[in-house]
Amino acid sequence: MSSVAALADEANEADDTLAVTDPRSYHAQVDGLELTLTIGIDKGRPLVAAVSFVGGTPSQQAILERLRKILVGMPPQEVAEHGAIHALTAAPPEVGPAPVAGIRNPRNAGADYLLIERLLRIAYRAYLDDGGVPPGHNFWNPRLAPQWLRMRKEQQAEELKLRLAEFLAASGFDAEMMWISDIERGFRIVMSFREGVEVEKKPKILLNLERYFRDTTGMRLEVYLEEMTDQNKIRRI
Amino acid sequence: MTGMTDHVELILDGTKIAWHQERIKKWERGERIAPITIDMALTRACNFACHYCYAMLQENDRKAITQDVIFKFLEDAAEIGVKGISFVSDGESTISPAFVEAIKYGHQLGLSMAVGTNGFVLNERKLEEILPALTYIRINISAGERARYAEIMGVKEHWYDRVCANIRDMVRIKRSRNLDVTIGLQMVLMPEYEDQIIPLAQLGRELEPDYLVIKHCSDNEDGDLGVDYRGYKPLYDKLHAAEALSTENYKVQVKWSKIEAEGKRSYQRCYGAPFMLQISGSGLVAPCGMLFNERYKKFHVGNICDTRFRDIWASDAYWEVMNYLAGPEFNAQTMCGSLCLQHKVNEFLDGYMKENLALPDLSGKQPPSHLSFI
Repeated sequence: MSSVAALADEANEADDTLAVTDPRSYHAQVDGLELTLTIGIDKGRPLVAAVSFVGGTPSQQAILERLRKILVGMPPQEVAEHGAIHALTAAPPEVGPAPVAGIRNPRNAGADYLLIERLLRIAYRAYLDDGGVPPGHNFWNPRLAPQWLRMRKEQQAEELKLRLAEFLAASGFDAEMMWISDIERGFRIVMSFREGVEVEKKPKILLNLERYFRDTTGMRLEVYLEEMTDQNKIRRI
Repeated sequence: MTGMTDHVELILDGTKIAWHQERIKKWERGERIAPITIDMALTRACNFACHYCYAMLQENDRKAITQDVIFKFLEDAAEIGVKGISFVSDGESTISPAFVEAIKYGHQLGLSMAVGTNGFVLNERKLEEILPALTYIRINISAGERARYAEIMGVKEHWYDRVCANIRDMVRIKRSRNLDVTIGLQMVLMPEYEDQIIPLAQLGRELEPDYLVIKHCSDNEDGDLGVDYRGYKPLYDKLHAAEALSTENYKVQVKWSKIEAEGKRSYQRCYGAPFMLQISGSGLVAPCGMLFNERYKKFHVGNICDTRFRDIWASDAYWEVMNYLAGPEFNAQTMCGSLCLQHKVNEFLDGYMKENLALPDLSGKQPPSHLSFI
């Protein structure tokens, strides 16, 4: 296992073993499915410490089984606001809802996702009624592993070069087609293309590379291209 | 409707997305929706060098939008159900040779047409041609005194006189021909332009357009333009004083909702882009002007100089990017600049998806002006 993947695992394990205090459980029950969010305090902030459920159909149980791993460690507001869309994103294509032509959201993903969103929001309201932290601007963002952020840029680049080589080989591209030109703040990966790569193909390649980096590191890295500076001669007087 | 617009609400600080509930419902059901509004430029070039210009951050591979390209684009936009096209983006559209004909053709196709401009090249002949075809024209003017105008807008002092003369011509033509077009002035306010708030509001009173809007300055995610959002609060008294200069025919409006946001977003998902799309003066189609730079290549879905817009809109690549922005892969708080064009639409749709607000019942209510520009 590469050290990047190991770091991601470490971060995820840390999330699974949160040292929360004052855990309290909040229940929601609709149509024979009962969901429980256990919310505690970690470093002064409320976090979901556990998700459990009773009842439901096999398809609902499968969604919740995937979801419980994702939601643990998130603030309750994020769980209520975006929990169902996290579940949708995590669903493997073979078991996920039928694709839509436009924008995917829990409301067009079928009754199971609607029900789960409803349960999450009922449980969250119970948390608020119990004196939970009132909702405000939701600034939650997935964390990068602290160990990754402590690495020097050159070390990070070496790790990602391995992933890039795998991606290019798996996609049938030659190894010299693109390279990492910079890493900003540890998570913005700036790429360059060799001359001659068709402009229309670049967006899809960059999106796919970003997904590959994210899947193989477990971190929400962002892929960009080198910035282009203003070419307007008048503006530069 | 008469040439006067004051009997219908003119929303200058907010969104009209709630008036497009049929499209919201289609979007919610996962159907492909045409943008209601497209904000675009006919060129990346500009004859001004405004100090606050966000377009300096938007460079991408330049291609020329010819009259043939823009005509086909307008035909496609009308065909798929776009309502309004505003030539307000990352270049000065009035200096494109296709400008006048594009406005007239868009209007002929049934699209609502609008322009944001520095107003410099709009002589009387051009104004006579375009004003009857426009829903609104907005002049970017961030100072009310010659010397400061020259500094802030990056031009010679006497250009100020010409722009003021052109605004006078617009107002005169509108009144003499009893046109529906709304004429506005816009100040992009950086805190250091404080000294120009009152002079500009007074200039507007003298020129008598329909309104002057005073707005914040947007910045990119790294703050490269150096906008100090905390610097707006000490200006509130002066901004209120400017609003007090409104008259019966001239409204001064500060975009309080964005200024008070201090550059922060309450939401993480960008739901607004499918409703309100942006196209660069290079022909590049991207969900948002903040993503025009080559740096954001992964979001670039085509170029109208190479591919018909109806095909770009119908492509899987277009909807893949829109889904990326609407899902957990994206966070508008950290991956975008501040206070974008879609900001108010995003706030509304985010609140709707979080069940913090419901679609209002608007039956029997008078729609606001400029409904095609959300």
